[in-house]
Parts: sequence; C-alpha cells; structure tokens
Amino acid sequence: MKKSSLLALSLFSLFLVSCHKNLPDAANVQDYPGNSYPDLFEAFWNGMNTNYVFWSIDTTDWDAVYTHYKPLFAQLTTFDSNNETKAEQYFREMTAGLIDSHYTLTFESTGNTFDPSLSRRLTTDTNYLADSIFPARLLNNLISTSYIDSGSLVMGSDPVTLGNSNTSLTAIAGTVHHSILYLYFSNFSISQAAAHTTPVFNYFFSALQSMPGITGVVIDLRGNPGGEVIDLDYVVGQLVNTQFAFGYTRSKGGPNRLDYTPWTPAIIKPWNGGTKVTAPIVVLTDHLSTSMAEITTLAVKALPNGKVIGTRTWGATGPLAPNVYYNGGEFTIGTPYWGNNGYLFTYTSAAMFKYLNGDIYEGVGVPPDIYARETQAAFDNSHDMVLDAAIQYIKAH
Amino acid sequence: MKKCAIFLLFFYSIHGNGQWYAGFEAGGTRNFLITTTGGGSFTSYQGATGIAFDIPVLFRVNDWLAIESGAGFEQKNYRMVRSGFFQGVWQQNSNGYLQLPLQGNCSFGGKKIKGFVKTGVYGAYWLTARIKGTSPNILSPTDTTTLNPTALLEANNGYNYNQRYSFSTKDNRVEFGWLTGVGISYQLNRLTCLFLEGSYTSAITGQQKKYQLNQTPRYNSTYGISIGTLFHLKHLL
Repeated sequence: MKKSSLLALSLFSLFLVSCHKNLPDAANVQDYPGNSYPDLFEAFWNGMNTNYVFWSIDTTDWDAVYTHYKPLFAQLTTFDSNNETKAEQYFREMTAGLIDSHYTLTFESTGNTFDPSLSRRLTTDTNYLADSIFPARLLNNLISTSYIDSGSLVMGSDPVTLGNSNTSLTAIAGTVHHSILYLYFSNFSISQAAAHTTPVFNYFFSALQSMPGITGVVIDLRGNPGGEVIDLDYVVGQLVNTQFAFGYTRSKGGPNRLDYTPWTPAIIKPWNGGTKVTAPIVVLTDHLSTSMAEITTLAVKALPNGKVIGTRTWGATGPLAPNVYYNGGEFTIGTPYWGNNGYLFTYTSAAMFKYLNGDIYEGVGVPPDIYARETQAAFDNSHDMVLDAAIQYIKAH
Repeated sequence: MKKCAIFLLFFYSIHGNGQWYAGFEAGGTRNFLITTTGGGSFTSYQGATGIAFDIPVLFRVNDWLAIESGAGFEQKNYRMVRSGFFQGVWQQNSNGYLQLPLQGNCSFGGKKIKGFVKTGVYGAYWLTARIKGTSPNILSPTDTTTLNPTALLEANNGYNYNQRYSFSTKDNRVEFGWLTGVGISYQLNRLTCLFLEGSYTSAITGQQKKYQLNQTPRYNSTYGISIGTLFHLKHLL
C-alpha cells in the first residue's frame, strides 16, 4: 500500500511535469507569406495588435474588426484589380477611426495611400489643408517685410532630406520692435542646415545670448510638419540652462495590445550650456503644426515663461522610429510573396507621448493657451493676427 | 461557543491520533516566464532568481502519508533582455505572490533520515510587483549625431528605472497551478525535523486576463530550493 501510493504520487508528479503549455504562434508580421488576401488580413490584423502603440486610448474595437472583416477577406480568393479595390477599401474601413495622426497605409502594388486623420479632417472640411494663408504668403509678403526690423532680417533656404524625401529647409530670423527675437523654420532638419540657413540659426541663438533688453522670443511653428528629434534639444535646449521634464513616452513592451514599457521622462537638456531666457517665450502654432512641431510646442509650454498662441495643432505627438528599435511602430506585410516593399506598409508611431499633466494630445492636437488665427482680411490690411497676438502678449508681460 | 469547539477539535487532533507539524521554510526560486515575444527583435525572456519563505503546516495521516499546506511568500521574477544592436536594453520584473498550497506528502526511508515526494495544487495572489531596467529614450538622442551607431543606446540615451509596477485591470492577480517537490528530512529529535527540498511550481492561469483575440499568454514556471524545519506540535504545546 505504502509503495503503491508512493509510486502513484511519483507518477502523478511526473505527469504534471510533463504537461507542456500550448502557446499560440505570435509570429513576426513579416513571417506571414502574404500569398492570399486572407493571409494578408491576418498579417495586418496581428501586426496592428503588436505594433500599434495607442491601444490603451484608441476606441477602435480591434476584435470586432477581426470578426467583421475576416469573412470578407475570405471571399477574396484571387489577386485581381477588382479584389484589390475591395481589399484596399476594407483596410481603409478597418483603420478609419485610429487616432494615430501619423498613421498612413501605403499599398505598394497600386501606390494608393490612406491617412485616417487626414481623411477625417477633409470629410469635415474639404478646404482643411488650404485653409491658411501661412506660410508662404505671410512669410514673404508680410513678416519679412512688415514685422521684422529692417537690417535684422536673416533668411535662407537649403535642400535637405527628411524621411527619405528631398525637401527644403527655409529659415527666417530677426527682431520685431527691436526687442522681440523671431525665428521661423519650415521643418525640423536643422542638423542639415547648410550655407543659407546656418546663418539664420547662428543669428538667432547668438542674439539670444548677447542681445541686451530682449522682451520676448517668438518661435513660429505654423505649418511645420516636424522632422528630426535631435532638433528638439537644439532649439529648446538653447532657451534654458538646466534640464527639465515636459512629458513622458512609452512604447510596446510585448506582443499584446496593452503590453507597454514604463513611462520614460521626456527631458530637454541644455544645448552647449544653454541660456536662461527669462522673457516670455511664445510658440506660434496652427492646424498644420505636426509631430516634432507639437513636441517642441509642448516643451515650451512646460516652461514657466512659455506660451502657445495660435490654433490647435494637428495631433500627431507620437515619436517615430524604425520598428526594431522599440519593437513597435511602422511595419510591412507581404514581403515573402510581394518582394522587399511588401504588399502594405503601415506608417505609425513607435511611442506614445503624454504631457507633463497627464494629457495625451494624439488625435486631438495641442490646444493653444491663447487662440488666434490669421485671416484674409487682416492679411489684406498688412496684419498677421497670430503674430500680433504674440506681440501683444509679450508687451503685456 | 463555535470558537471553543474549533479549539477543542484542534487540541484533540494535536493530542489525539493525528500528528500536526508546523515550522518555517526559506529558500530561493528561479522563475521562467513561459510566453513568446511575438517576433520582438533580438528580444528574449530569461529566468531570474528570487526568494521564498513559507510557514508549512503538515498533518501526518500515518507514518508515510501526510497532507501539507501553509502560507508562503514566493518571488516569481523574470528578465527581458535584448541583444546585438540592442544590447543594454533590459527589464527585470520582480513579482511577489502570497501562495497557499495543498498537497499530498509521501515519505519513505528510515527513522532518522527520510526522503519525501509531494505534489498538489496551489492558489496564489500577486501581491507585489517591481520593475527595474534600462530602456532607450526615444526623445533623447545623443547630442553628437552618430551616423553609424553600433548600439541603440549609443544613438539614444538610456533611461534607467527602478520602480513599483502599477497593476492595471489587465493583470490577473489570482494564480492557480500545480506544484511538486522532492526532498530529504532529518529527525533531529522527537520535536524537531530538518528538511531540504527542491520544488517545481507551474501556473495554469496566466498573468493577464483575457482581453483580446489571439492573446499571447504569460505563465509562471518556478523552480525552488529551500531548507526548513518542522516542529511536532504535540511535543511543542
């Protein structure tokens, strides 16, 4: 009895030890062959599970999306133009409500793209992108001629590369009313500034250190689509002489939707020692201030002497990075069957950003402290209502 | 009246035929997270060591069979590490569980030295959680632009953290599983017994509640080694 019981207990223990758990396959999205629409759907749906960083705040019911679209993709049994049109429409519908305002789908075989945040804006306002006289007309015909003091204007343009695209960096600096330092730059590619734009930044940051009696600083980020993160410290780090936190970021910390890393402080470090600017620092924003322009806006907003004047920004505050860096963000599906570019490229943030006070502005934009926007009537009357509001604020402080 | 009856029952069982033992047990654990990284680049999970201490209570049915229980605290830690270009990025999760096992214990051998095998089930409550590690700070690139960084932490400054983990609604704080162990005991005198034990604990419930389709589960799988002592309550009281 004793021996048999001991034997039974030992066998039971061995049975328990031999019980292996069956873990579902959670493959890298690039491991899906992509040789059918149902497989592309599975790759995309799972890729979003793992790589999309806003699941904790996004209201899209991704499980319901799976249940609804799986049978629809199952009906697309061959690759042809008719099914491709349907498939692209399904992918659009699946992602139409996502809040990531960097988010863009690129269908590599057709070249079609879909940007949910842009689509939503254009649905409510077809004139959304053109609904501003900033920047070209305002910069060329008003700010550089009527606002910046004669003799202080420095401006230039250089070719740069942003996100593998060739573009240009335009920068303008000078003084307004002989005591307000003004800086405009068209995007965050300052590390690529060359012969024509380097003098603009040199002028601005030298004046910041040496010009007596500065009553205010204006950084004009209207129409700025963002760019390189390194410029954040370069711009804001020269306005302070001690580091400060202005928010937090977090990225994916595992394959499930709510697996996150801890919040990491977003910190501005003084650039080359920096300069403590005590005068008001005003950032001008509009509905096209995007990405790094918004991060920079929030960094200035966190300063005790920082102010945001203009209109609500675009709402793409999640930083971008290659997928492998943070195990999340942009990804491509269908490479085994479709080649290096794959079938579908998903451009999405690698991290989410939270402002110092806990607010997350992804999809909603950073609201201004003081609302102001340029109007055609004011422009015709040689006035930039936004810059006027900044000057008025600085004079009052 | 009810309390009095329970006390009398307990007193009788100690001084009656039943043989109650209780004691202390302490040791170390090495826990592994059974999961997948979902294709995480150069990312793996590794085992991590922890501590455990228990207050075992044992009721000896006869000279070879006993029923064992008792409350204990057990750490089930694990590490996530990245390698290659991502070397230096890591996180250790230190999780403490309040654990209550119920298991059968079969002993064999001589009068003084005995071997034992035991197995059973347990329930546990995820009591404490702490995370420590280094992650790349996406908004903190290094000041000198490195065109060809050899490591992620060269391109982005690392953020070192050591903080309490904030539980959320997705965390499954109640864990059930099975456990088994083998050990050797030495009867020091009629009151005291010393023992050395190796154990294996396997959770059958995951660390996360089910909240999505195709969810990757995360199970604890824990090896332990401990030493302890048991007192024969009949001779102690």
